[in-house]
Amino acid sequence: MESMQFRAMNTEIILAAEGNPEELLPGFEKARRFILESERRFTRFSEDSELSRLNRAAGTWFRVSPDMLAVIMLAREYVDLTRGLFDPTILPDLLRAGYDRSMDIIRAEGVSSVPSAFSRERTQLNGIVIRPEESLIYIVPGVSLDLGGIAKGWIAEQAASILAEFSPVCAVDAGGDMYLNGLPTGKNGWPVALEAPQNIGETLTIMNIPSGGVATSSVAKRTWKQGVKQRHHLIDPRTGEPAETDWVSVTVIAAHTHLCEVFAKALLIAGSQAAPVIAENVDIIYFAVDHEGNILGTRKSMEYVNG
Amino acid sequence: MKPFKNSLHIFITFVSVFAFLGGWATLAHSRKPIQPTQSQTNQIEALPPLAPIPSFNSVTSNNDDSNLNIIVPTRRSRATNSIFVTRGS
Repeated sequence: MESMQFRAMNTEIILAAEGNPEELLPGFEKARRFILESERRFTRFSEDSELSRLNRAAGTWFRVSPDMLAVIMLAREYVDLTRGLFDPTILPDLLRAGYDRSMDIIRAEGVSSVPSAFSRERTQLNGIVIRPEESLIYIVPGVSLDLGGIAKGWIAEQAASILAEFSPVCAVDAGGDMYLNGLPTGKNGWPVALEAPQNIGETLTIMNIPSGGVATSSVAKRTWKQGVKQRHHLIDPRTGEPAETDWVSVTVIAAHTHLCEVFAKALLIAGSQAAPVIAENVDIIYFAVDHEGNILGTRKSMEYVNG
Repeated sequence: MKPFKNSLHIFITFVSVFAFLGGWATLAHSRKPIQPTQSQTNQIEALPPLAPIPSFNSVTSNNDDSNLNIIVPTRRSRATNSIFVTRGS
């Protein structure tokens, strides 16, 4: 298995594929370029990104690129599927909680963002009107989009499809959100380690995953202090505050990486009581890790754990 | 002046009465409004009321495949041969 590793989207990216290294190199380069271009398009931390320009254009019609349109259409669908637990309009709440710079910068500065005075009031996704046939988006003033997670999942999957033009067996891992294409020679799945959310570098178990997506969401990783309060990046749209959940992380396996990413977040916010209801009508496999480090799974998810 | 006013009153009264009767007769003999046929009636469906979002506290799933009731055996280790690691973003 050949691979290329680089940093983008504030995380480590791994591109991997089976085949002749010389023939794979253009594929790696093409996928890498796509990821870097997409990062520039979807980041909210650059004033020049398409997402920032769209957010600034609130109150007027804005013509978006096909990629932006695709992700916003998906996001809209997922709001309904997750009963509102996934909500890309929580940006004002995220800023209010102190996540106002990239995580790399927040980590480098160590602590704290002063509690800010961003208003709790916000309009939700129904404040966005889409005219898909004209690629036009209208955002009601006061609404801001953050497509971070769903865009990362979408980008990983698209990059894998680019890589698949060069090798039928390939994978793209964007900081734990990955898309696995085909099956490695002689194997019936891809071995994917599930890292202990509270203990970086420790593997809890190895999963065996066929072609498709995987993503994990955790409340233990993107954390910071806001004054004396410990904060994390997972906002509960019902309260506008970092979610209070009885789980530390949720891992989802499904056909699409963006589906995994969205449902990992939604199920983690929902916690043990509500997650089964949220997951009921969606074709996903999921695991949760609780505060004691136990991995909890469904009967079906046991099939994905290496004995 | 007075005969003129009386004539005007009479004229207005007659015109009003005849206009009223004329309108009545016209409407009485006009075509009836088109009634929807049975098949058209069937096509018109009342929008179903939106189901309220269930309170998460009161709902439990009956589907065994979505309930997390199994503790997966862990195989804790510091080293892994897998190049892919899924972790919370």
